[in-house]
Amino acid sequence: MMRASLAVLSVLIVALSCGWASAQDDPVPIETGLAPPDTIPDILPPAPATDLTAVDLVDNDDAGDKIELTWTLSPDDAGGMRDVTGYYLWRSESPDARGDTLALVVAGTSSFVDDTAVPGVPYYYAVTATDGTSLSGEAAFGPVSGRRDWFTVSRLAVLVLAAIFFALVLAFTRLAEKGAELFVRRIPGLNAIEEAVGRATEMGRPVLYVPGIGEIDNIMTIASLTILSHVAKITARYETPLIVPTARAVVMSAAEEVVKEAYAEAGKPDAYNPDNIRYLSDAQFAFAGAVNGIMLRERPAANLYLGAFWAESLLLAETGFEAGAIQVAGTAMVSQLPFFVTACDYTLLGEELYAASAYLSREPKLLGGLKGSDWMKIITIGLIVVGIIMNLAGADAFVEWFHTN
Amino acid sequence: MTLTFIWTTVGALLTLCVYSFLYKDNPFYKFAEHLVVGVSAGYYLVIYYFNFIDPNVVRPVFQLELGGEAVAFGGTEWWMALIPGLLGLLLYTRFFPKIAWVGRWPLGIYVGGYAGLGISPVMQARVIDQMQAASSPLAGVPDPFAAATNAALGFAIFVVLTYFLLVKRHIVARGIAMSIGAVVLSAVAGYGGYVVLSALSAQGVVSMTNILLVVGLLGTLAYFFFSMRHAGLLGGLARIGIIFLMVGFGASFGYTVMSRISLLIGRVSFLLTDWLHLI
Repeated sequence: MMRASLAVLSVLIVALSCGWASAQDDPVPIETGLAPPDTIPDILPPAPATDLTAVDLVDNDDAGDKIELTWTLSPDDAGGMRDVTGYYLWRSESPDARGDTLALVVAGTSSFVDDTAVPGVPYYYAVTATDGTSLSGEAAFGPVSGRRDWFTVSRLAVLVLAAIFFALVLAFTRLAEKGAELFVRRIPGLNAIEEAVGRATEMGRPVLYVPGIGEIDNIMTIASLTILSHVAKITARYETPLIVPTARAVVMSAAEEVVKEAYAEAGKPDAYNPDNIRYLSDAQFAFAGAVNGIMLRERPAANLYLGAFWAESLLLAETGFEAGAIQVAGTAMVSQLPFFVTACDYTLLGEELYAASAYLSREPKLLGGLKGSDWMKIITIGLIVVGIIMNLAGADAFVEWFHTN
Repeated sequence: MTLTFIWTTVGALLTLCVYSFLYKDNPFYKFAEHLVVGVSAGYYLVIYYFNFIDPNVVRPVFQLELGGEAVAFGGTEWWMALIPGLLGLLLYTRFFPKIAWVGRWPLGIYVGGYAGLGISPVMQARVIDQMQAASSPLAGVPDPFAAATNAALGFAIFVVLTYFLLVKRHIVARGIAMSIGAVVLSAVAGYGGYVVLSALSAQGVVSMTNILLVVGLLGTLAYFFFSMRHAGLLGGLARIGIIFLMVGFGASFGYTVMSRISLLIGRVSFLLTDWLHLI
């Protein structure tokens, strides 16, 4: 009898040791697809986990496919028999069945995110502790279902600031439409454009206007087309040829419309030459090579580079410099500005490109946008200063409110 | 082997044709230029068709299969593919003067759609995230860039003081000895500034890096303020802003020139190694 008891005790000790070793070798959660050890003889099941709860997880871009499970650990996990090796999680669409194994997570884990839920489908969850050989009783929760969220709370700051910005833009646009005099300071580069066109006229040579290689959806290209309209009116007045090489077919269409309209407004519709609005190539360096060819063969006296430029910027500006043309550039591509600053006579820096288009056109929508963004800058400066002061005072909640994911 | 040599030679000769532009415009450069423009036009026509029109319009509409599976239009009904297809076709109405105005509709939808979709990410990434990062504590925080910032500020003190003494105070006109003295004085002042700033940083009293960041940011924002003339306080801030911008442009210029030099090295390596086998 004594020997039999010792044998049973030995088996139990070996079984517990194996369970403990298994827990040590299994540090990461094991995902679905494992068959639970239902068929293993239950020698001494661990105490069950309790208080299982499941809630719809709200996160950014929430598609309603995540449900967060939390439970209280089995008393045998960190204390008691210390034999819990992990927890089986189960999911079912019926309250009467345990359903399929969702995951097996290691001992000490008390939460899990089910990211495979179908939005709107009610699920019943259960959790059972295991010691590697047998399962505990289960803790169950349900029904719970995932829900798509239309609003991401953590991006509230984006909504608030965007709303303020739109309100400012609309207010200033309305003011401009009513005829209010909205002051915009003169940008030095703009005077240079008129000087450059005047010089080309005196020399009897054409003006080259490159609207960049951006697509028509690029805001820099749109601003450039507004300035092109202004330049085209001047060249029409002076009857100076205007060459506009483009890298995008749609931009060429838009440029044709703009120049044609400007010539008509200047009262010189016959001076418009459609052959001077040219599509060259979509390939960046093929375009740069072709524009360089125009600079050397048609010898424009003024080169205007206004729009979105990439690595071709220095190739163009350097060739124009070598050809002796007066050059004015403008782009909001920060990485290309140094080259234009170096190789051109005048450069419109970043936002000056947009300001120039608003200044020249006096279009209420553009003026409203410019004034709105100016006031937005004041708000931004104010928020930064307040943020710094709050940070110094140790209250970082203000800055944290602007933290978006 | 022979075919490889032929194509390598073609590439090398075209490279030399392009480099001949460094001397002056010539028929060889003109040939290479026209070749690349023509080839790229044909190449992009094919690329655009097979990358955009074929998978997004032709295959979904005609229920063609790709890899054994019918091609869907972004997981929606096939007829939805007709909408962008028709909008694209409307662009060609510009060839018919009477209905040319219709061509503005697809342009409007294209530009408006992109602008609308871009507002939220731009507001988040370029305004709010930047604003949050700029609201850094100016004191009581570790400054990992303290050594570089303090050295840069010490050097700036040296440059500004040298310029002030030699040019503004006309010391350069008073002889070489006086000039050297002014430079030495400026160097001492610059080094002194560096030592003092380093001591402050080491104590964690102030973070010069963060102060520099905030001053530069506020100055740059002031420069791009168009609703008032740049005079008085705004003028001063804008002047600081343009200095920061130019320092940034200088650094960016140097960095990019180095990368362009590496492109040149790559091309010369192609000529000497792959073509001539000299290296």
